[in-house]
Amino acid sequence: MAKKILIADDEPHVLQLIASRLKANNYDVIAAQDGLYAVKKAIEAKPDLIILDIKMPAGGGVTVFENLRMSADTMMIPIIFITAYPNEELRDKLLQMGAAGFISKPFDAEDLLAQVRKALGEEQVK
Amino acid sequence: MSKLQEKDKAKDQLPEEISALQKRTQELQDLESRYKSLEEELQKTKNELETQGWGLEKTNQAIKVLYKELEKKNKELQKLDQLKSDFVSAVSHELRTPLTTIREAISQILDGILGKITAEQREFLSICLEDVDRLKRIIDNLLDIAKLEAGKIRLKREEADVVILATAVSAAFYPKAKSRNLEIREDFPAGKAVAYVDKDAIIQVFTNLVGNAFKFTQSGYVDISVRDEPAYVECSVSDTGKGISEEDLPKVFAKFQQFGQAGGPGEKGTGLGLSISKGLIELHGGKIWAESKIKAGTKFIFRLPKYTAKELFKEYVTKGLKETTAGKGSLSVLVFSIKGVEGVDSEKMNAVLQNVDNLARRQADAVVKDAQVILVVLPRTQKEEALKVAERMQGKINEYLSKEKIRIEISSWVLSYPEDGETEKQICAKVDQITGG
Repeated sequence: MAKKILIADDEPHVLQLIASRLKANNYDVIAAQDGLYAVKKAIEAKPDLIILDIKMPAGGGVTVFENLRMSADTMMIPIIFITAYPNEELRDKLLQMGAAGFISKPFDAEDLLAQVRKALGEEQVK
Repeated sequence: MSKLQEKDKAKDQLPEEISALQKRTQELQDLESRYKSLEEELQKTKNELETQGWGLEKTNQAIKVLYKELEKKNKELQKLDQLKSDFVSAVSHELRTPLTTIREAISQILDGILGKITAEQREFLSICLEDVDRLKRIIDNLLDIAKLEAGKIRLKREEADVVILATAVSAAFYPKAKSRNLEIREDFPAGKAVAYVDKDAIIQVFTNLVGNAFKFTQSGYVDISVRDEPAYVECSVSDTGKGISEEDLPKVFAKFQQFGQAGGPGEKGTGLGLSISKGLIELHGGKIWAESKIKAGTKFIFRLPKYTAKELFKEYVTKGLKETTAGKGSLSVLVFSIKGVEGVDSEKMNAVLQNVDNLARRQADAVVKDAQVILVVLPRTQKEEALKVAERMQGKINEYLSKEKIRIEISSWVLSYPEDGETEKQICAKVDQITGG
């Protein structure tokens, strides 16, 4: 069965393109455009992985992360952060907090897919 | 003598006495007029002094006014600097977002996700992708320059073998060298060349210099060399390329300078690389310069001073203390001492050190003194606040150690100005006391 990935980003174009790339790699995709909806969808659909944009209305990536950590249902879902503000300190802090990955925009598709596979515990198929 | 004779004698002496009296009177009159003129002079001098005093008072007031203006202008400049930094940050974010979608859309078409494409379509789309990547590099460079100018770049310094860094860059350019039919020559010492540097920064500098060398060299070679001198490590990148003219040479590190057409196919530059390299080298306390002659190749040389961890710590403390004067202002140093290292395998130990280092670097410039002590310098921090920071860090470290089941002990101390020392010497002495050396 295909793995489910929830992506949250307030830019609809970014959502569309990441969804397209993930679907082409046989993942099912759920999309959210703000923090509140992202948390709602995460609880409802219990995806296998969540990709979160850091800056979003109604709760940015970090807020969503903290919220999901508080619920037994969602605390184990691996989370990859994506941002247009690459910042060493933020990256270190998030990885310390237990994020499964960190991607800066614009991203390299191979890098994104590699981090997704790693977070899902999939073997690299080359 | 008879009375008459006495009277006569007195009468004879009279003209003498009168003349003496007249003389005296004249002298007194002279004195009086001199006194009067001295008095006048005194009064004149008094008046002059008063005028001068009044003038000084005015000057003093004028200086106070100027000083206030200077302070105001200084604050404005600081605000502008912050605005500029925020502006560049905001703009670069705004630019990165559309670049993300453009890049990914082109990439997906090229990867065949939207169906088959013709060879010509592939060619055009590849051109697009190249230029999107070029835009991305320009934005990254602009951000670097803004950070450098705002003094916001924090170097993550550690003991590193510069030869290893140079080798990594050389290896990265090997495929390009092969495809361009250029030789990469390496001139490294047999042993190590260790300096206290930010590895990523030095790699960035090497990459910039070697990349430039490739851009402007049609045939021949690019030489990367590292030399270990007692007080510094000297590195150079030279090429057999078109060279730089005498009039252009002094401008070579300025922003947005690009001289002439790049020699070969491949990455177009941003004109900012050398400016960033210079900024990074100078942040390390080093020097960078260029030697070149038209058609006779170019050589870029940079020197990295060798600081030991101890010297670097002293430098940070001295810098922090500069902001304190006569009991005002504050500085704290956190000392993390690690015991029981012998029983732990080196990989686990490295991970622990890395963990503490990451925690520490979020607070301020941190220095790894050696494998058993980590010193964190917190400028503008008082003892009370520093104690809280130490407690927080200690908590996180203990959490990590117990999670990973590592049996070592890490204890922390806090030293502050002025309670524990008022000079860099005193503070360093206390640190030595705690760490035993």
